[in-house]
Amino acid sequence: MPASDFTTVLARLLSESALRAEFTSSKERVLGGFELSRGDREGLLGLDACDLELQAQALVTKRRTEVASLLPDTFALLGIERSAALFAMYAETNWPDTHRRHLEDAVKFGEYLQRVGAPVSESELNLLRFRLQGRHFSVRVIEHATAKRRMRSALQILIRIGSRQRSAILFLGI
Amino acid sequence: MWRLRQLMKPRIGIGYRRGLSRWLHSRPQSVQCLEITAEHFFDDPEALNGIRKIGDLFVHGLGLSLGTPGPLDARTLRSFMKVVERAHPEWISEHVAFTRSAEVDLGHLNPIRPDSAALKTFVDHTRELADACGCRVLLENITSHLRLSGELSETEFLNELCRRANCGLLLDVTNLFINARNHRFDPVKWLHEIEPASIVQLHIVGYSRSDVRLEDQHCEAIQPDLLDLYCEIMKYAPVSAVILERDGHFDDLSGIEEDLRKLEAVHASV
Repeated sequence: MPASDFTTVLARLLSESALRAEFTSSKERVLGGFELSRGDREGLLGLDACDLELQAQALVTKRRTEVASLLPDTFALLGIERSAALFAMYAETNWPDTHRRHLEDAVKFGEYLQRVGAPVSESELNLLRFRLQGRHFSVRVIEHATAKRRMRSALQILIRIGSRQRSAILFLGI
Repeated sequence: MWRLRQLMKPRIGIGYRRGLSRWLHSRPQSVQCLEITAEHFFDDPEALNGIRKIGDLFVHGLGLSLGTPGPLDARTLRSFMKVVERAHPEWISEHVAFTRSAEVDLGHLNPIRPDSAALKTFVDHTRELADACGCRVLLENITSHLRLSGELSETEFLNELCRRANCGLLLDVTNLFINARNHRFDPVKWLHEIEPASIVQLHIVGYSRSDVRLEDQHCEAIQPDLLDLYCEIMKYAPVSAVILERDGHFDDLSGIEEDLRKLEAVHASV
């Protein structure tokens, strides 16, 4: 059993809902799986299960709020309840780990939506990928862009000017 | 006494956000200083050259995770140092919190247990940060749904940390107010347990309400009860700077200016 500490165990409890549920039903059993000092063990035993859940939810909500601000069209397509449910499922196993975490989170969530067949604004996702990759110019094909209330194919042109990115969409066949 | 208070009047400023850039470059009179978030400039520290002209800068960190046992993340520290080198701040600040463990980066602030082990971790990391950046470090109290108990009370922990690490306190008025409401304690009693000389800078922004608790979403106007606590702090401690911490509703510039006026009015009356 590897040696652990208060912070490491708390981080796992906050990031793993299954471990949190097990902890709520039996703190002793979960903590038995970690080699902890007496003080750290006492501290973890003293955690309030409701507060722990609220803190865990707050972490996911903060991430979702940041991602929603980067993918506003996608969140509008999903609606409030579906976006919250899908983001909770995605967030459970995805924890970005760089200073560009909000951007990474948004791109990964968009890709997750594509994998599970949920609606996503392709142009929005392309723009975020473009920002993340740091390119100066890119052209992307969008299979399902909305024009005059109809879905059409389009070309998206992405340009970086200084630290700003610009995107223009040219609809095909109009 | 009045003249002395005028001389000691804290600078009032705002957290720099891209959405406020145009307004800030117009040099509004209500803004005397700026706080930049270090991580926002990790990829482009040169961007600080223009911002430095607006006013005095303070550098605020989010991701050094000073409360994580073990060494500081070397890559994050190097990036932080580059920002500090470019910004020439009067001081730098981080949180009394952890954001990651060896296994997972939670990305947001989480509380630490106020015990001797955490105190040693914080003292070591704070000194390392101050040495690396050549700057005074301030540490900020966070808000959390978890209220952790340890060998020390929160205020004992903060006083001891400031003493041993030779750092100051960035007192977040909103976080104190929210914690006091959510965890049912008296914020003024809490305040009076803190060594006043250690309180160097303040953060403030209106609190938000959820179904059951108050939250820090950084987008509301300052409420009257929050301003009362701010007033208590201004009477109690020799604060050097106050930063309004707005992360949203940037289109409401008149609301932001109104908040800055409220803070100024408190100083005139204290």
